[in-house]
Amino acid sequence: MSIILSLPPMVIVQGITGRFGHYFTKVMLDYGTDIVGGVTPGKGGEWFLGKPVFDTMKRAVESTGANTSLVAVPPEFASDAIFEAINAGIKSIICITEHMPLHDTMRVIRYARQNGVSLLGPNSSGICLPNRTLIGMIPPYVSAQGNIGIVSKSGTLLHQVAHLLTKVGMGQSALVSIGGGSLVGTSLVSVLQAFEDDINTERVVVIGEIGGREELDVSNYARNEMTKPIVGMIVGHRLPKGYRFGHGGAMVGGLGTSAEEKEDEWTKAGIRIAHLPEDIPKLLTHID
Amino acid sequence: MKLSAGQKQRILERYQIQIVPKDKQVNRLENRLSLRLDINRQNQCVQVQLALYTNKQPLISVELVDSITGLHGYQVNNMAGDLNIVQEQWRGVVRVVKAMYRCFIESDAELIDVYSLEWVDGAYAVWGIEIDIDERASYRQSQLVDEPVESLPALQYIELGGQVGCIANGAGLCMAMIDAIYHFGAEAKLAPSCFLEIEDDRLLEILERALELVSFNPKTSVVMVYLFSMWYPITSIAEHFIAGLQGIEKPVIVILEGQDESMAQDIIHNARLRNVSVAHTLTEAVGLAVRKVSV
Repeated sequence: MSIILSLPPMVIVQGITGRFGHYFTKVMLDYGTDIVGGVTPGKGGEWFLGKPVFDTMKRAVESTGANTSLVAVPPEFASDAIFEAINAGIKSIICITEHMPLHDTMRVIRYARQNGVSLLGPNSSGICLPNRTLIGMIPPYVSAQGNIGIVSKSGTLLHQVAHLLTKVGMGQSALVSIGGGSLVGTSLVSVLQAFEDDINTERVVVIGEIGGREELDVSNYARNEMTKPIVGMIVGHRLPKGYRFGHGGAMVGGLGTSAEEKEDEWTKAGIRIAHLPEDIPKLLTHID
Repeated sequence: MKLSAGQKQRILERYQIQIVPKDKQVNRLENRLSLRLDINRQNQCVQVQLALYTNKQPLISVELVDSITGLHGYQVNNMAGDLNIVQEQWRGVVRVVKAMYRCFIESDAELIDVYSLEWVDGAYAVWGIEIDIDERASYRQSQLVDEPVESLPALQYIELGGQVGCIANGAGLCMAMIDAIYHFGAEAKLAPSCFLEIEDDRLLEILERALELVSFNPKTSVVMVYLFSMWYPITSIAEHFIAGLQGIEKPVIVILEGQDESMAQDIIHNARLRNVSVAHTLTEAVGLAVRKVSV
């Protein structure tokens, strides 16, 4: 998983004293994630949840040796936080901020790529390697250790499918939420590539949705590069064109953006299609 | 967020871009220069397209602009060259494209589409403009917007026309519910009446309003609710759900998922609400909805 996450992750929470930062830092600490500190400008020198708070990322990285950042700041500050993390030498960034302006998102994705930094999100619910680390908003109870890799645009569907699998005794190697926006730092295909290379992953679940054309790249990758079996699910059938369904990117527009077209492409690429979340455990059993 | 005529005029004035006088706006397909700026999502950059429509094949020139380094003069020259712009109009094209690019960036536009650029009195002027601003950036574009911009609402509601109202605290989850309705309810001609997503961190605060909104829709005959515990314990969600049902008489089917989901389901059962049924899966929920609709 090193393509998308620095291992072992030593995490700085940007916005640790804010509402989201505070809540999810507690959850992550309980899970055993190695949180080495946080950043809130103006609060440097304080301690919060037993961790040192720094004014800047530069000081935080110099003092702690952090390699990963969780960005949990309001949308108007998110691009600044990501630029700061990249310039401080962070190599993995997970951005859970929702409603980040599109131009800011475009610039940070570009800058991250130019600097060889992995960026999950914005609007990612995070990443979890069960029993090892959890960075973001994924509820700890949904996962259990195993060999199934799950990647999803939607955060809640990622949680729901992981929980379904956990309940039937099918553990996971990793849960990855790439974010539901029309622009995201890490693509579905990059995560599939990580799963293909990961010795702990044997089977893969991909959850897509209406809007964008990223799922078509998944078909090509699945057809030409992937050796591990994939179960896929696309949500948003028969939804009307021109409306955004919650996520910034979930809108049926041009050719190839409807659930039906994406599902057809995945079927042709040999991906086993689940029509509903509850079909997934059965399909995973049959592709063994 | 599409800008009104007045808003567009204000923004164009700021970038000193002239509008073609009304009497000179000729709607024609040929001999027309047009400009379009939007975001190329695959390459995370701004796409600038200048096109010349003639009576033959249109000439179209596209430049991808790195949003960090910005639009370079040579890129505009490339486009002008591709379209064989005549010498006396060359500077005019460069000026208007650069001004439009600045406008696109500084106003957080998702799209600027200029139907026609016309050579008027020694400069390019524009008409037939569509400008779409990114709503997420409206907090820093208050000078463009007539009304004060409030923060984005914590719920999203879209009418769909069927008879089953769908509420979930996650867009993906709500779309999965709609898929289940179409998949298992096809025989009973079941269809969603609406999509309603509640942002999870404000679930407890918004749930009552969401239930009201969906159940008071006259087209809704059954309400399906999927609540997944993330910020809040599922038992608290169950309690707020019951409180939010005051005054609602239509049948409601709820799936509650979380660490202590059986305790949450007990809370619902113990409330003895005659119009509420608990389902454990989407298949079961749709089965119940089919029965309620056919009654």
